Amino acid sequence: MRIVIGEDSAVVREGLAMLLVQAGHEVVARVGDADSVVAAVLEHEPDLLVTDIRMPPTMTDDGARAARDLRAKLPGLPVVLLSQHVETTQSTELVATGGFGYLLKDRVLDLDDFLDALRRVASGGSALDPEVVGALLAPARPEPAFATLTEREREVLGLVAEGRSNAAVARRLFTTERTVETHVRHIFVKLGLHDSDDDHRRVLAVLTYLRNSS
Amino acid sequence: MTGWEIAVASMCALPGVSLGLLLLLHRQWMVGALLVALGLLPLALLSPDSPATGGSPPHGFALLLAVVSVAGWVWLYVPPALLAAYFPDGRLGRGWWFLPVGWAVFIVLFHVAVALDPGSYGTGPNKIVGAPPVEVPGWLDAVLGVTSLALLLALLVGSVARMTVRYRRGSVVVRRQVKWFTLSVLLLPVVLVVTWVAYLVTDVADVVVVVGLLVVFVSIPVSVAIAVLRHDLYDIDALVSRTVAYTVLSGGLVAAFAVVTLGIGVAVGRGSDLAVAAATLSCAVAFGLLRRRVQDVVDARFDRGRREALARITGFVDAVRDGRSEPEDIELALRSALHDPGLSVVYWLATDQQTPWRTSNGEPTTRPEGLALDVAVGGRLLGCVAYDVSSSRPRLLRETLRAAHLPLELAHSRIELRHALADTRASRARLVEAGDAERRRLERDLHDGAQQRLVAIGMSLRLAQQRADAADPMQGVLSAAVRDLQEAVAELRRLAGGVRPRGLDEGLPAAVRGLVRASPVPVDVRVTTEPVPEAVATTAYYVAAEALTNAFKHAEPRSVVVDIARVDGDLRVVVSDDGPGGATVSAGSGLAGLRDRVLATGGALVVDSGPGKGTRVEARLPCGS
Repeated sequence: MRIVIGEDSAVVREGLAMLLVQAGHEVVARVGDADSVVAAVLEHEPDLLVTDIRMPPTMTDDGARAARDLRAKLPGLPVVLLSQHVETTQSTELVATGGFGYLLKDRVLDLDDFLDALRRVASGGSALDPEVVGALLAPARPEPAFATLTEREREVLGLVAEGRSNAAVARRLFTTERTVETHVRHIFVKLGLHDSDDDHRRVLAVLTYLRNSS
Repeated sequence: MTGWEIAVASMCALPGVSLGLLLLLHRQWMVGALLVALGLLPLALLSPDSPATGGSPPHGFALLLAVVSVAGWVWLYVPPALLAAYFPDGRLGRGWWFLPVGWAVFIVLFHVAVALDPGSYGTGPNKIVGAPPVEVPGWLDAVLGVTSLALLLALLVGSVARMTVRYRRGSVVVRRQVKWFTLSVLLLPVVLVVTWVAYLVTDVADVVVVVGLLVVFVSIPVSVAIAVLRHDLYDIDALVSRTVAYTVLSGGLVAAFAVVTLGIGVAVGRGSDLAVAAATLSCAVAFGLLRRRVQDVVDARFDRGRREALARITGFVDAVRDGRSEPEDIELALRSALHDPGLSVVYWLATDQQTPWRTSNGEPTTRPEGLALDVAVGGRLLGCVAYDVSSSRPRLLRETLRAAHLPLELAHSRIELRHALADTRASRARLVEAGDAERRRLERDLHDGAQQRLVAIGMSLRLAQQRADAADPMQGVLSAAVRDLQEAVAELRRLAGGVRPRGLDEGLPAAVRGLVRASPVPVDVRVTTEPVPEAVATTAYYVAAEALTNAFKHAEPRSVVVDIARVDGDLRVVVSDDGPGGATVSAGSGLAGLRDRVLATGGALVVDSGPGKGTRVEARLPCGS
């Protein structure tokens, strides 16, 4: 994959670039501020943009805004946003458009999961940080529909909400894909959601449900 | 003519002439000329009588001089009467032309009458040698005499009328000037009374008469000059009032003295020491008893302004003492008491060096320009009072301010206190904001500094791991190190989140919704989307967070309502639950700390938690400034 990296901290930027190169990707540009991100992406038209949210010039959400602007110019540009902390509202909305990922920066250290998430997003899917999913699933509220889920089903729901495919969930839980499929079907029936093949649609459905019921 | 007479006449002339010349220098032509005339007349009238006595009957010009020397005493009336007409601006005014014309006619008429009157001729003092130049019927002469005297009376009344009209229609300044003139006229009866006393009880009556004359001839020019040049030199109302009071009093005392001396004289024998002693004693006692009472009565009549002003201020002081009026309203009280709508009271705060001058509302201002009286108590400057000289009587103002010391001092203290309080409040709010800024900086440092660096180290470890042989025993060690790093990063993130609520970056509504996302019970959240200052939003967030935590921890409610709305320029934060209630704000609790924070921003925090009624926490946070 041809990748553009936007990250203002030089050590993190170079570390990330080396990891990606090591994994066989091509890093076509590595830049340190939002304006350069826009310029580099327009110049190289990469397969994926990985960018920090907080960057110069204003050190607020410049990276996220640059990504949004780029998506308006290059529809379907896959973007993975990195952050130091969880912002539930902004991140879930971004993920809603597909081809988007939102991860905490230290997820990079779980290298296999991270590279998997990049691949998923680059191919039009979603990747949502487990911490965000956790924040959304956390309420121990006696929600009638939610309460009917078994412990295993909640586990599966969490992984689905992160954007994983049934196969990935199965690998993660050391079970068969068929079993996961059964769980997912049960979950969607219990929550009153329609099943769908499309990965990020599944995420969307779950998130929409969780957000609306909270 | 004796040397005595010349000396007295000269002394009488001196003040009028010199002050008249002074006024002429100030371009007060008419009034100045009249004063000079007033001064010169006694001298002029004294001189020409000697050549006419004895010798042959005069003819032509000599006869005219002789007539003037006999009839000339009426000239004495002219300067004061015309002064009354022309004073103070030297203009006569429409419709008053008949006054100078009338005087001219009168002078001519009177001299003709004297010249034709056979009674004016003969030998002796004040007689013309010889006989009238023309024989006329006796009745004509009588008619002339009566007519001219009637005219004199009419003209005198006319001058008084002119003065009265001027006073009635005049400005405050003109009134004050007229009062000065009146004061000198008032001295006439005083001199008369004193002269009577002198005749009655002393052997030096002549000297007293001379002194009295001098007083009159000095006082008229002096008071006229003061009125025209420096009408605000003294408090004229008080002077007039006092002069009237003493005139009345001394008149009464002379009468009493006369009655007592006569009574005792008849009983014991004329000229006895006992009579004089008794009369003096009774007069002294009467003076002591009556002075204040007479002064009060006269003040009520002649100086009502002062009396009313002081009464009004005394009433205001009582009202302040009883709590019916605010001491800051002293400005309004002074304005109405002194009839000076432009009067203003400005306070001086020693504690504020940049803007020490303050209005009654405590707002910064500057020291007033123009006339102003400093107000100080015990050597401490409280402020000053600016006034309009055409409206206020400076001396009365001073007297009034002395009476108004209590409210002035109170108002000053209260303004000083409010200023100090506002200062303290501002510095408290600044401290809170500085604390917030410090937390924000700390949180950024944690995220951008330590956390980034840990992630970077982790990446290096991963890279090392990838480059090493898969079977290398170091792989396990490196993996463990990365896991530890991840733990550390997560720890740091939690720490930073505790230092400052990150959710606020996404706005108050999102932050508050984030608070209730993990709620065990349904929470109805209503948050205004209007922009709110950051410090206020932070405080509102903390209040909502603490109140929600308390509700979940202690109240076990079935439902909770969070309502954050703009109300009258404030941000109102209400968190209410349907739990058992009975919550209190005890010292050291989270809500107590929050109350301090809320108070620091100038707001208020109320906890309403009756048993069985649920708990309602309401904070009001001002959004102004």
